[in-house]
Amino acid sequence: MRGYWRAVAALVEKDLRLEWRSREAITSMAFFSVLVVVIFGFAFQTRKIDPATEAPGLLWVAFSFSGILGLHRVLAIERENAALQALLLAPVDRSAIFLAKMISVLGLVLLAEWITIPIFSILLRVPVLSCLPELALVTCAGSVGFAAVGVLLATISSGSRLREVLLPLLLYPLWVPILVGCVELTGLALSGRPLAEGSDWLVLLAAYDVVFVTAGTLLFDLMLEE
Amino acid sequence: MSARTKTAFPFLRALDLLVIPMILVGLYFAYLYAPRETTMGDVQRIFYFHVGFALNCFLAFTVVFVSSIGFLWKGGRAWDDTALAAVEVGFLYCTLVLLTGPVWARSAWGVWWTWDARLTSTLLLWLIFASYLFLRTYMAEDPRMRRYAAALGILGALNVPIVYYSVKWFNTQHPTTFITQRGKLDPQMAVSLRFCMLAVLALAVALFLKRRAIGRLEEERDRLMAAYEEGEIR
Repeated sequence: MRGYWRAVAALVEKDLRLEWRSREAITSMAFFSVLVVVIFGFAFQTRKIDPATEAPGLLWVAFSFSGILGLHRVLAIERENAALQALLLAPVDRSAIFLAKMISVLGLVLLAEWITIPIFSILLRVPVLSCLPELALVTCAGSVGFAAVGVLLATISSGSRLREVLLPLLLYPLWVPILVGCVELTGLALSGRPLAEGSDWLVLLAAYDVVFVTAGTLLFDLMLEE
Repeated sequence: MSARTKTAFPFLRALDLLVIPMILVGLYFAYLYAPRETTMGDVQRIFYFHVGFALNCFLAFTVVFVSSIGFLWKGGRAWDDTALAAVEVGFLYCTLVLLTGPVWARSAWGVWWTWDARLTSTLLLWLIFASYLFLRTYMAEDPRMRRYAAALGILGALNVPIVYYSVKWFNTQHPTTFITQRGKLDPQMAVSLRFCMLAVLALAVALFLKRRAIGRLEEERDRLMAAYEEGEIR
């Protein structure tokens, strides 16, 4: 079991080291996410937006869009030079590859989200300082599900010629229940109310996270066989 | 043509002779036999078919779940044909639920659509299985497409219980299923509802069996094409 987690850690380290050298994914994700926020700002004509209803929706739209970029990138590095084939030859359980990819995506997505939140707060004048722990919890809970279902579906769609089109088509319908939960909980946090008021949503998020991580771990191996 | 496929066709044709009259009788029950609902009026008659479509849609997606697991576990194209046939029937019924629902909602709630838990989750189910059909179309050439579709079928069908229980878990305006609560429904209405559900189920079964028969024909075509290309037959 220790060997298994060492393999996961080594694979995550490899992904993050590659990312650190180029910083391609994180810059494009964070920039795109901020861009979506700015576009909303223009679209709302600098009107003050409501922290309970409009702000969380806007944030999660930005996160949903930019997350796709991270998924494309983390899978693309394995496609170049047929690196995936080399990875599959490694004597580790395939689910370790899934978990490693999931953790790499999770790291990228969370970092992009936490870069976006302060900029969003300043540009759209939504105070976030008082609810940072709550926001951290909600973004983590939501992004685990996103990364799990995202890596599985990105693996599926990466075989297709139309992968850039196919991935969002497959991902967003399955992602919506988590998104709804995240929006509700972010709304509570931004309006200064305790997350406990939305405990049903927390349970729903946790349930979806468990289902998607389990399903991904079990199905990933079958998706790679030739 | 294999003997199994050949014998399937007269049976499927005979099934039409059962299903078409059943639907017609179902329409009679829904529009003429069942009494007019006092508060909602004639528009309530939509419900006789709406409920049948909804329940059989869940049934179809349950078949998708089981046959997708069967395909990944045991392999074999028959499992995949079953899953695809069930998705197509379920998707059609889900579409019909989403078309008949708003007609009733417009008159009962005054709006075509509301972001209510039951409605939203049904729309979600429709989107998920639309993406399943997209996957199959976009990746038709890929040899792994069936396995991918099975994975998506499993993930999608996992949402069915959430849709079904959404009415109980969240407060919604959608009427609860009162088929289970005996005695509340007028007996003539109850008979109509049960018959319509049966007719809609029979239609689903007929469509499903026909789609599976088409799947078998496609399999045979692919086998013959492959044999032709290898020069085994001319």
